[in-house]
Amino acid sequence: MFSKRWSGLLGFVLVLTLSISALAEDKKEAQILELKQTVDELKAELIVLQRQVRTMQESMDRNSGQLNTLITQIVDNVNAIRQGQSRVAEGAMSAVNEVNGLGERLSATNQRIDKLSEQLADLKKTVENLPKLPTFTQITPGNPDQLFAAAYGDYSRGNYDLAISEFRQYVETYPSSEMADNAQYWIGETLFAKGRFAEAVTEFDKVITIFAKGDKVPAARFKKALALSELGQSDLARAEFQALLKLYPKSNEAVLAKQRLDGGQ
Amino acid sequence: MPAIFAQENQTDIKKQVGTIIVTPGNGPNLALADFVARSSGIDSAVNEFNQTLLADLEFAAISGIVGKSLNPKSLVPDPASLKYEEWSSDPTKADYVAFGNIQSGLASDCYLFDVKTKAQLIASRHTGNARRIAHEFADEIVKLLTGRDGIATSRIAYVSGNAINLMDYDGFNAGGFASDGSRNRFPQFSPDGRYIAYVSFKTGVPNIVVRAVGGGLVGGTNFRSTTSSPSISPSGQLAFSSAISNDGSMEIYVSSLDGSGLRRLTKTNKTVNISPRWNPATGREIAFISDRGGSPTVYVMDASGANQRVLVGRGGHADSPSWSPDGRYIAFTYGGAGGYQIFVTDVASGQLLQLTSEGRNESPTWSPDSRHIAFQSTRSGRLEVWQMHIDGTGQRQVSKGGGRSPSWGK
Repeated sequence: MFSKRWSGLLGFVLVLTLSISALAEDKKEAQILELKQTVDELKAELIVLQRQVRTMQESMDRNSGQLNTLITQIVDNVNAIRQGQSRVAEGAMSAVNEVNGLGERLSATNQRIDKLSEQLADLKKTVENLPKLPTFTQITPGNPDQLFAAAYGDYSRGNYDLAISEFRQYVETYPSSEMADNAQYWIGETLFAKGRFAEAVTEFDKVITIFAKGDKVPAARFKKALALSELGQSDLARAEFQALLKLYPKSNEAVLAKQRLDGGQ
Repeated sequence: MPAIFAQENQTDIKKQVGTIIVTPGNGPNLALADFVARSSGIDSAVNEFNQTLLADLEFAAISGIVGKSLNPKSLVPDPASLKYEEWSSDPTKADYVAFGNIQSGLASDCYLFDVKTKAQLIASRHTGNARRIAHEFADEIVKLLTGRDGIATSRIAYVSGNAINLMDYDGFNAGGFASDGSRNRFPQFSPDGRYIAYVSFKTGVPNIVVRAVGGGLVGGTNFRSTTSSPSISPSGQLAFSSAISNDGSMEIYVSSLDGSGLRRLTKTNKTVNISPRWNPATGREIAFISDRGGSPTVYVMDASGANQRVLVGRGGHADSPSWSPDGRYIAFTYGGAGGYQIFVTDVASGQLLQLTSEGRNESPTWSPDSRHIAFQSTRSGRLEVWQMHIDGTGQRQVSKGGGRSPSWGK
């Protein structure tokens, strides 16, 4: 349903672009180029939006004002085109006789733009009726801090699937960075939050073995024990709490482990 | 100036919060046609409705609001009277127009139209008092334009004298919630808005009381040592700070709402661990204040007590953290000799933004939509509850006759 509507829309943008190209010899070339640029931007925006709406329909995620920001941007683009048009139209009034059919083309464009507004309104409706909204985290490739921040931000907002893939990406891309053990820890933590305890145990184990010298080991051991408890493996959990007490007696997690052992939890 | 004021790179968080609030001239334009009285003798109620709706939508900051002086002169009591071109063209230049009529009772017929596409977006009927029906319609408009719930029907709990009071989010309709002749302090709404936990000195030792918003007793604690700063998780767990360990420390505990299933999360040596605040979006983490490193600083830990780490605010005095309902930000009080102000940090990047500067400003609490903050301020000469947008703009006083320690609920 979407692809049909959008391809029609993109078709119109294409027609509009071509009709504008035909006027390139006009004295108002600069204004027309400006308009063309706006249309190109709009086209790119629409492609992005189209893709994101599709992602959104598949996504099982909540809490994003970003789509509304996108819609606002598109509305702004439509307004920019409207303004661009009126500028071109003003400039073109004197040149109307020289430039055949410009006025007609412009009013045709007007109708198309009104149609676009309608489709935007439809899109808004569609967006409202979507059960869940995704977040679109902007990640600059090659910036580890930004990737880590995006991943932890998604964990904090409850976008667990996104957080897992971002933390995984971090560990794969920057395996020797200072935060790699943290990212590995958070993979386990996020799986734990999703209730996928067996996988969480596997990921916490990687913190304990691969990053044995890192400062996340006590927390990883403690949370691994909690995950084992959740899986009903209380003997293994106790063994893990005891190992934690023995190996890291001064850690805050050792205090918590002792409490769990004493309380029989 | 403490180190925290010298944050060199605030551009990203500034940009980020800058997109959350729509400033005039940005985004779509919403025009409000004054609602028309369809019965006699209700003119003042209709007037109050119109003023309330305007104030709600201005504070919501989700669109530009067209100044009423630019509205066409013709009355619009119903869709049949709406002339689209009048509203979409100069000087009104509206994208949307809200209008309707009110009959005695009060019953209001409320409409929202997109004047460019001529589409009817809302047609609804509300009954009740003038302020309430305006709040409900305002929230409907916000929901339609943003897809997210508005806050016009939300309420704020706060301390007034020795009692806990409740008021509408805009300061109207204030009334008592809990008073027992002793000191009552630190109210905290649960994330779902069903409960309020607070601290009562009734037994002589401060302990926690949890009540339903209707007033019924739900639970609390009954310890022999100071027990304070309650916070309720999304799944109905209680976090609080207590001196029950009797080793000279205030430590953080979690329990059920009735105090059972007690679990200790911090164990320090003669230090203070206070003000635990659940992440209301996930319930997975707790922010808190600890002075274990020398000065009171914002820490974060797993809800099990594991992975305790500094979030922000080393050197200086950080206090009363408050996690935004969407899980994205933590607001807190920070200061020292130079005064106390409200800051907000993006939990992902740790970037900071200072939101207040006039008077002494403390105890931030987030609106349910994570776009606004209420706080206590001395700037009027006495402690009152104030409000602002997440970017620090739009600061206004909401409580009258004294107010502090606000907690904003659904």
